[in-house]
Amino acid sequence: MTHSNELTQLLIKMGQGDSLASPQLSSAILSELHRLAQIYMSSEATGHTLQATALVNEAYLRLVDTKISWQDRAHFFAVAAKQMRRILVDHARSKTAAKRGGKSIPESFEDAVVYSQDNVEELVYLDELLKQLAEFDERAARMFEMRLFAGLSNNEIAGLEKLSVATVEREMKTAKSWIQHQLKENN
Amino acid sequence: MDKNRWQSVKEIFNQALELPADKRHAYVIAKSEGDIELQESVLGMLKAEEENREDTHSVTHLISSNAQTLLDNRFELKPGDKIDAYVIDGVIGEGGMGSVYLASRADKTFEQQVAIKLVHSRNVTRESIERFRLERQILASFSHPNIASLIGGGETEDQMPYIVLEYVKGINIIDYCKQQKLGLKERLALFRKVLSAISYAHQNLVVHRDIKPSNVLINEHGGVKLLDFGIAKLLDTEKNQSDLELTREEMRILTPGSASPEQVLGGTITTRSDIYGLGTLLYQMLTEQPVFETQGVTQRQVEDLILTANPAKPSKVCAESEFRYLRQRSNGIKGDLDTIVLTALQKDPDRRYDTSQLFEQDIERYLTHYPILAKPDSLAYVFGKFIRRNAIITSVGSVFVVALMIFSIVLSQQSNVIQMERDKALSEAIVSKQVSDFMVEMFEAADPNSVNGDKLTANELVVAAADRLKKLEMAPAIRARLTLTLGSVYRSIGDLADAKALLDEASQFYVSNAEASDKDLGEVNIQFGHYYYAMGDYLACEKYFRSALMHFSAAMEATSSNTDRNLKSSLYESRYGIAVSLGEQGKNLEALALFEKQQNIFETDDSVDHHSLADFYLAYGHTLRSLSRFEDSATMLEKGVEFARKNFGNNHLFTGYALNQLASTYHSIGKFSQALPLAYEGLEIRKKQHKDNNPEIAASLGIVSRLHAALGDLPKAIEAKESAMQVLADSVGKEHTYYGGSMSSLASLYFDHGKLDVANEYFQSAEGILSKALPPGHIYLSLPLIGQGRVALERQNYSDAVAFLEQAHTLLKPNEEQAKKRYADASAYYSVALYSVGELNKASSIANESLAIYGDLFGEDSDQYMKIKKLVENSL
Repeated sequence: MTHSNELTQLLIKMGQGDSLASPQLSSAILSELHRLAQIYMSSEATGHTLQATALVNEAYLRLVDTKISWQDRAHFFAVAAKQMRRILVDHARSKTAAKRGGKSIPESFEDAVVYSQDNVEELVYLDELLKQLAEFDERAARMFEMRLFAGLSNNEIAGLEKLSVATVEREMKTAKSWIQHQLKENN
Repeated sequence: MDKNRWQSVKEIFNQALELPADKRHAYVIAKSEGDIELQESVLGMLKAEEENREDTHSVTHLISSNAQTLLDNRFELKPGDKIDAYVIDGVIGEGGMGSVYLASRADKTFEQQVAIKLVHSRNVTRESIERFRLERQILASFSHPNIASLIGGGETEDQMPYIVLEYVKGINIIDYCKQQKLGLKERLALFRKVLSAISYAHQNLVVHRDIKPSNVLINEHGGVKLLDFGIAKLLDTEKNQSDLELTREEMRILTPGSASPEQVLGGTITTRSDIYGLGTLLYQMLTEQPVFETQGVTQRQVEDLILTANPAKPSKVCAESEFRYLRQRSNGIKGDLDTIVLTALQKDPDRRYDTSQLFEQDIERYLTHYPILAKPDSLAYVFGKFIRRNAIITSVGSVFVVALMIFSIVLSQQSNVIQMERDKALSEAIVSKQVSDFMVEMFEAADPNSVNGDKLTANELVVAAADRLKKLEMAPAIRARLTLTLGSVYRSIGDLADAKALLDEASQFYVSNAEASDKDLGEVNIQFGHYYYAMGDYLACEKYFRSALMHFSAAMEATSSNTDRNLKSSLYESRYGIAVSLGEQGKNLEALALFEKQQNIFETDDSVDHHSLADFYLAYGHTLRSLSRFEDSATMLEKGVEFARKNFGNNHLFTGYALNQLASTYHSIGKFSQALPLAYEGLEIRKKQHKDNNPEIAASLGIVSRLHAALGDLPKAIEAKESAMQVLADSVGKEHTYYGGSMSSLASLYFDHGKLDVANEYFQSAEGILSKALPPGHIYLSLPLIGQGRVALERQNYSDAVAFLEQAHTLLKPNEEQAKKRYADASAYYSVALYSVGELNKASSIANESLAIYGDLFGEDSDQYMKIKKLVENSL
């Protein structure tokens, strides 16, 4: 397990433009997210729907010295968002593949009612859409990812992207509307 | 989309957003300059933006729910993975506690697939492992055709516990009902299987706690299988109570729609929590809707509903359904089934059914038109039930049929209704609907809830109905029909004079109306038959039933179709009435001939319902006993008991009645110790089913008493008899034949116990009561006469003895065939008295007559024969 100081240093380096710090940070975050996912639900404290962003937040609290600057914090979330997206999409892909390959099974023993209805296909499609969006508006796709997979606020995103909050809000709204329109079309 | 195009989209989109909503559309069209694709894109985005402004938007939800799925599935097994001797074929289901996989034997020794349930590794806690162990332990002890069975279990290499279960290939019970388009009765039949499985679990002190459609599957053969005792609970061990309460985590697993209020509150879980779960299941089976809508509602809101909201009546849900077949079913559900379901769904566990057996009984009662237990207070209700039933027969002591209880009422035979309204050309449906509405209205008027808590008595109810009938404007045909119905209702409550007046009125209409059909006339005659039965005029009774039979036969010929069930059952009722009235006239041989002739019809014709067939067996058996054909009687009644147990269950009044009859016949052939448990079983059923004192309970106590006496335990016999009399005093009153008859029996017991004074006093009182209640010459009057004669004999008061016994002997002589044994008894004592006063020749001939009958009935080496022989010899 990477020590929190090391991670904090990595973040700071990354904030200073050290692109080499990024892969190391990514893999640290990825493994922490996996670990968290494993222990999160067995803790007594959970009785509510788990949010991906909550997971990322948890990872942040565990991994990083909280006294770091907001920029470095924002960097962490930007990276974590990518990892979170990757974890979720990979999982969704494997599930859709299993669905296609597996037998059709008539009935379940236990309803998975508590959990969401299975919408893994939709997530895979969302990933596709984000990729498309990145082709003609890379910045919007990135902001969207940070907002949705790591729960960064518009303020934080504005700071990271060096944009006005109003612009972020407008860009996000546009991207979101496009994606939702596309998702709906797909349905 | 390329970057330039995206730029245009963005620009128009953002500009449009600046405008008031009603201007945007036109703006987008203008700006797109005929570029349809661009225009569609922006309009779509605008629409998405508007739709989701207020919402926590769907993309967020999409991501978080996938995160959830991820967490749930991190530890799943994949096809090809091996556990123990099994290889995983795929996932069947995933739930909170664990996943369930389809698997087959790795070595292919068995074709059979199994289900393997595996705890989530994220969920490997002490509790969850304990719970898996418990589920395995529970299932290992179970063996029930409607519960999916355990095959094995163990731990994986990573020490993850798993259990191997019977794989049920099928669909859930609700989908099955929909798919097969099952009717109401078929659904109830399936539901009873579920009840049986739950009853079994409860008997083994296990509460399932999670009854819901997906846990009740119907397999390929149509069999019901209850699954998943994953969060079941043992009731008896303290350890399990404390350790295995549901954790909050497990609470979430409960299907919101099926959890009981106490489960939502985290309160004490009992078998009644399962009653609630069963209620939700039945609700869905009837309505195809959940009790509370859970779609698009938060868990919290569902919980609030479970705790506070009253579910809509199933009949109402059906009535409002978009599907015709559900709407059509609404009427069948309205009333009893509504009550049954809503009783199971009571918020307060104490107000639900106590046990699943009671739940089951009520469903059975519903199916057989008996009053259900769930709504005991409403007189209107019980009464309504009464008249819906075709015929109810009950027995008190050796009396064959209690007259009051035979009905044949319009509501159960609606298709018999008249088509004689020339001007209005009323259809049968309209007539019967108006008749039903009228009756229903009357019963509602008697509902204690609707009359400020003052209960109307049955009498008041009928009087009110008659009054209303007079005032209402209605077509003569309907009026006649209602008058006839009311007449039979009057009869049923014992008001025979008013009954007669109404029946006469109805009869006049039909007889004077040239359009009256044979069906109508048959119906009138049947009602008169029942009336005269109640009056005790069995000759007239026979005459009217014969006349009814004639009309129904003519109607049957006229229809040329052989399928009119109502007509057929009216035919059977007539024949049955003839046989019963013949029996009561002592023409047991004629009655027997009729029974013999009908046996084949009753056993094979499916328009004979279970009740009629059970009635038939018992009446037949009774007649055989009356004819002293005890072995045949026993055979027939054994058939009746078996039939009743099979079709009505071990807790049904009918079964109680049958048991009583059989015990009585066994008593007659000296099988006392065989009879006693049957008599007690019958007694228990009746005590359980009759909340108040009921003559039937006294009848059972009477047989119990006779059997104890026969087995030599007089104190017990007297105790039972005295209880019986108390019951009778409270139910039918002290002037009734039953009370007098019982007193006579009690006197006999005291006599046998050596208490001559008490015995004599009781015999005298009994004679007083019976001579007032019965017509002169009735054979029952012989009982206190024989008794007083025997007391006089004991007291060596021979001239008195001769007087009493001569009376008894004379009274019984014309009924010799009907009451052989009693006649022989009277003769034996009479001969002893005659010897004692020196009339030796007469004594001798009567003694021989008596011995001949005993020898004939029981054989010359029987105890009974020897006893009388000794008695006669001693007096010489």
